[in-house]
Amino acid sequence: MSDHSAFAALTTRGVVLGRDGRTFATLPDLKVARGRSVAIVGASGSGKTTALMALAGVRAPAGGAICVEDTALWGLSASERDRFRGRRIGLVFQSFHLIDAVSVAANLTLAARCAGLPPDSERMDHILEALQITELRRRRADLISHGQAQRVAIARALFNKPAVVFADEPTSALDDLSTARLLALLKEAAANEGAGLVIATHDRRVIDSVDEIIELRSVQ
Amino acid sequence: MSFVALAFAYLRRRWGQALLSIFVGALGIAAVATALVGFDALPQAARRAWGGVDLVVGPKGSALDLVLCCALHVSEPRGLVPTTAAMTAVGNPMIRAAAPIALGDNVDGWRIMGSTPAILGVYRAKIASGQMWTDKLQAVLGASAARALNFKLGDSFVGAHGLAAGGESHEKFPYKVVGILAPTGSALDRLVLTDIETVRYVHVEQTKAEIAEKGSTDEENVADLPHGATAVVASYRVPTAAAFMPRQIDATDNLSAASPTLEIARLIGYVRPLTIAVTGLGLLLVVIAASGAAIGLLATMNARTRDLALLRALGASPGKIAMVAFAEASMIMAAALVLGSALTAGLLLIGRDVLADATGLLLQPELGWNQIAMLLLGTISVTIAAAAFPALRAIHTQIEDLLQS
Repeated sequence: MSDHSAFAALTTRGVVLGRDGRTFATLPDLKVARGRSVAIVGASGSGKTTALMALAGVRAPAGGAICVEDTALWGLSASERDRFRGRRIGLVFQSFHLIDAVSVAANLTLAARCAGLPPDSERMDHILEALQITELRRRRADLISHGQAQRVAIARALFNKPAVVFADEPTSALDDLSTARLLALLKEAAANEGAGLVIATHDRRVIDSVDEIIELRSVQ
Repeated sequence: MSFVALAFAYLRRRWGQALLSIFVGALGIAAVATALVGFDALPQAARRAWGGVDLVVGPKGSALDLVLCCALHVSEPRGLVPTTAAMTAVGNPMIRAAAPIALGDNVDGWRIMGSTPAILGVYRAKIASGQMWTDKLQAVLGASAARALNFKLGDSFVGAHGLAAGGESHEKFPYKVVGILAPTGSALDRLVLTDIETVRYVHVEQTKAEIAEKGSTDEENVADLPHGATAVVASYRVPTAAAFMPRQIDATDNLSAASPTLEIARLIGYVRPLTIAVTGLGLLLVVIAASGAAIGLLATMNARTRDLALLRALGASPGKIAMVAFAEASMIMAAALVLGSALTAGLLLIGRDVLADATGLLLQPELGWNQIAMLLLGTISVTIAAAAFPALRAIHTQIEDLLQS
């Protein structure tokens, strides 16, 4: 087994984004170290989400190479990539997308099950404590507040000890105070867990708070 | 939490929707199962209705009338036959059992039928409690008649003239219940049996009493009261008897033979378009119920598409997504199968009693292995069809749509 800590969380080279056979943007080469945060910026419709999908191993880029730690993401088979995404990549959705029918703890253990990992109760204790939501452990996900749901979504993204966490427009519907809290929480949690953080956004408040900014270049 | 536990959590979370799906599924299964059982059990019940009566010997006239009156006991007698001549006509080694029957009275609408103990042999009937009559004015009740009239051994009752309720009562000639028959599934269950001599005795003595009381009666001359029987019913010892006996009896001057099998087959032939229409309607109901079950399940499963797509984004393989969808659908359909089976059993029990009381037909529903296999196959098909759609949708959902929503 390779020592993941020896590699950058995420490295890209010459990534070209396209859709339906048409190239529309390129992503500057990127190297995200563990504990560092990067914002991918661009106007609405510029391809930020498409870039995130390529980086997360969901949709193939039109060209280029993407490595998470030492693994070339698009060199894996579809099933290998699914499993790899579950284990080494964390996702934070714009509206969290917790599974309402089950408890907070079950939302986390399902993330492990999806990745083919056994649920780790010590890890559960640790991550819930780190995000200060231990008391929510047994509460059903639809019975918690919006702020608590944010923390649970971050806990779920970090539960499988990912190398890198991707968040897509996480602050689009938040006021300044909530945005500041969420960003602080995301950055701190990712840094504490040794994960790189990549945020797709056009929100100036996010851009001002990350370590590095990458702007998508549109292809004329 | 396992994926099966997640499926169960979904059911608990939206229990109202799940219950509705289970209920609709159970109705569909009950409709299909009842139809499967009913399509077989009803004709069998009809075949059992005339019991062991293979041949009815009566006066010249309509053979169908004879069968309806003396085998199925649903119509009025058309005349009498000389008992001795009719019994002689069936006195053949090919006949296993034969008995004369005399109709004419009723108790609360239940027919009183005079006969001889040989009638039990014709119907292969057995006494469930008590004994056969040994004297006049003793009665042995068919199972349905005893239940409906609520008569027990030792009870007394009076008959009334005619085959329908409301005739003149024979108040001075009360019968005593001495026996109750075990159910046979035949028309015998709806009859009140007595010695054939009792039927004539009651009418002769009633006439005598009326003459003494009023000086006159409708039946002025007691000596003119007929000595005949309504018919003689018989069962064959060998099937080949059906080829010879009716022809032989029809050749006589005053007797006519009727075969319930032939006459009912002819009657069913007349109403075949109606039975086809009823069968078609039944099948339509089954299709509607099965579609309802599938649609209910589909609606429940569709609500899972977003969550299933989320699991996909978290790294779940298509197989795991399918497992969640199929586990939930299977739980719903398994519950529907249990409830549907209970509903079917209940429906058939109620139907059996209603049918037995109304027509004397005794349903003996049995679900054969073929029918069980058809039912399970249908249920599994509906489950797969309903679960496959949302599972496929979830598997092919663009995760970026989920990310952006």
